[in-house]
Amino acid sequence: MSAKSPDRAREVVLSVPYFAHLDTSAMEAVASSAIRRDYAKGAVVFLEGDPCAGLHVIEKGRVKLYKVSVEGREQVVKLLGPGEFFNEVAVLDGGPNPISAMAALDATLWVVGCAAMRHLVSSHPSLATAIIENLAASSRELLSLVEDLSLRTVSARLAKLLLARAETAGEAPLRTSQQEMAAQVGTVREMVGRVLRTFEDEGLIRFDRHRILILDREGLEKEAMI
Amino acid sequence: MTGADLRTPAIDEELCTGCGDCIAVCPEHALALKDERVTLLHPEDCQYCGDCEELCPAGAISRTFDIVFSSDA
Repeated sequence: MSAKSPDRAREVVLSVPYFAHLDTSAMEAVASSAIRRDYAKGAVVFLEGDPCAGLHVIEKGRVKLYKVSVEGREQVVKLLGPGEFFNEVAVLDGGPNPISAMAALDATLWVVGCAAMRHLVSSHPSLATAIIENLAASSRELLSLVEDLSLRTVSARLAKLLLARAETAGEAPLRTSQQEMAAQVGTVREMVGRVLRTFEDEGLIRFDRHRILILDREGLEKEAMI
Repeated sequence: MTGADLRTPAIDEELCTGCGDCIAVCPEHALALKDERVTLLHPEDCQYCGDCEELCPAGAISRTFDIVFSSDA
């Protein structure tokens, strides 16, 4: 489903922290170019390699950015929530989408097409600055992911993920399967199951039916090497 | 048992091959074959132990978790 509503688009643009310092004309230009799209949980927003799908701003829900190997193994690169935007790389270089995106929860997104966004960036310096700041933050996160995947063990990565999830549990609760944990920490589900059982044996966590309770925060932080 | 406690494993019918391994391993006998696919026949008996998920060769069964700090963590 898609729709256009400049007033709502304006509110969504204003909700993006990186757009807080946009001048009025830039904010209005983005809002008037944005089209709303609704996605059910599990729906693909766009695929890696397809032509630039434009800049996507999240109004509600969660979106997963991910890569898939030729064998079908998935690596989650980032989970995004309301007030965040993505796919600025393809917007800036005009190339194909560098990553795939899927709605991790029912999501409402606002999309500004690639050509329109490139025109807006070139004509509104404050918008270009906002995009660059977001790009810099993404670069830092990607460097952190490289560090995790290359320098941390699976146990450490999983401990880090559990702590991060528990930290945000109150804001946007997201039910997570072992397969999804595996896709985030770069391993397979069986390994996640084994490591979780080890954590339980060590008294770091406890399974309480559908909840994983973190019993020893300091111990898990030590395991995560943070 | 509260409503939140009734969460049960999800079974992906597309992936399920109907091999029946999960039925054999379920300690509560909560699973059964229906139309050559596994179904949770007695969800109220499911203890969410994960034995079925561990054993499923097709990766068709998955449990989801909320990850939270214990109050005394």
